Amino acid sequence: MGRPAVTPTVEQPVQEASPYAGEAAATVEALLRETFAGTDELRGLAVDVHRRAVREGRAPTTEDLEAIRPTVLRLLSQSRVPLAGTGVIAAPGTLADRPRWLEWWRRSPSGGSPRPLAVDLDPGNIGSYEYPVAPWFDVPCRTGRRVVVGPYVDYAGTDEYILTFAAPVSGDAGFFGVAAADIRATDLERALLPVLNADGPASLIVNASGRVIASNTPATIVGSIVRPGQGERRELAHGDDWPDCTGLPWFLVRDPA
Amino acid sequence: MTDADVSGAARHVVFAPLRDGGRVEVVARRISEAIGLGLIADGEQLPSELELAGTLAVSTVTLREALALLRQRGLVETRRGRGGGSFVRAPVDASVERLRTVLRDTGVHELREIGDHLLAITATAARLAAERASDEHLGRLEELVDQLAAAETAGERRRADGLFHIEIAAAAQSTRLTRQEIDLQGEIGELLWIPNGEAIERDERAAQHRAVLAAIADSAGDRARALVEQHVELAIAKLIEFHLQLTQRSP
Repeated sequence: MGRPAVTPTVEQPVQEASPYAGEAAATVEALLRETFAGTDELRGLAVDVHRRAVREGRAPTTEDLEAIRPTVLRLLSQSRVPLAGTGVIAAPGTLADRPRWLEWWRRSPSGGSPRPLAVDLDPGNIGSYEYPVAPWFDVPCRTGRRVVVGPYVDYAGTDEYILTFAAPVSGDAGFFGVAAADIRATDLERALLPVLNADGPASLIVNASGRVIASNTPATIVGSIVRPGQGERRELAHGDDWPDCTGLPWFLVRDPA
Repeated sequence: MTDADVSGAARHVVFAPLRDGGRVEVVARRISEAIGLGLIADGEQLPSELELAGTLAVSTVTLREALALLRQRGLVETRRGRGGGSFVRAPVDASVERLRTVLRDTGVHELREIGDHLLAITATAARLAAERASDEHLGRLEELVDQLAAAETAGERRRADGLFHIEIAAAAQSTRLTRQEIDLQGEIGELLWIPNGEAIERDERAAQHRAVLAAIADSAGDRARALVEQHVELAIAKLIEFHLQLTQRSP
């Protein structure tokens, strides 16, 4: 796609042991901030939808939730790291007209105009999308925290290999659901590769579980697991800076044997 | 099926001597499968205890205990007195009837094809999952084994069993294997879990799943693959056996 890496907005001091750990940290921080800025915008709109309906003494409907759609479509078209999809997912039982619902739009990898996500929401079927138990829904719902999940296979949903960035939608009217954005693992790696020097030593960015997100070596590619003892690790997106987010920090790993 | 006695052909396949020992569960399972597959219809009378014990080559004590189990499960009813005996109670259910028809109409070759495909996808997914599963996946897989072990209805069992294999493919980080696994489970799952005619016994299946999960947790890819291969082959062999019983009954 030839898109540039996310430009770091914060310059961090270069760390001696890993010359570009600072650049990697800044790039990851910028990516997280930009992605969560989008979900925060959706969260604000969805909280309004919920509050207005409750003030009228009723539960919101799928039609009320359509109010967020122009913003969803704008976020899909403007993000620097391409979003696979974004939107708001209602908690089961919150909407008046549907037991489960996603106001979710996605962009296909081959381009074209955004389309709504079509999934089987009947919990009785084997191919149904059991989103209430998915970590990106369950963590915000149970803990009120934001969460970064993946890369993972989103089966029965988008069926893609993605990362999901999700935030709880809660206001005076209570918990409504989750605002989230998906980035394809391929697109995220492409955005992060420029900070992993191709000519330097084997370097990886891994998530909090040690799953590889980006790698400059064919020996340990995206989706593999790196155990804590392997290689030298540096935190990216420090827990201190993201106190309300589960699934961080990510790590820069050098020379995983 | 109009007469009240079990037909000769069905008796031949259902009540052949048990080679795998005279355990009560084995006897109960054999009779319950025949009921589940519709080889013995609702209201039919089972042969006398003596005759049945003789043809199955088990003691009458074992047979009586097996019939008691079936009575507990509501599959058999015993009437006393003249015209008494053990009768099958299995009201005809349209969805079960449909599954029997599908299983009868799916040829042995086709069942073997599905089995081969399942073998390729499911076993490979298990090997890769042993390399790539995170603790979260292991936790989810354990939940699914527990769900299977506790599942009361055939529908719940099918769901927990299918999702276990789909989750393994997802733990392998492969969208392609996962999609294929979903399709395969959709195709074969219902047939594997026909109520009372279940190709796999729940507790046995749950034990197999635990062994696969342990291999994945140990990062033992080859062991995980070998276990899943056995597991798939057993299930398909049983389905082929059921298919043959159904065709011998209604050619």
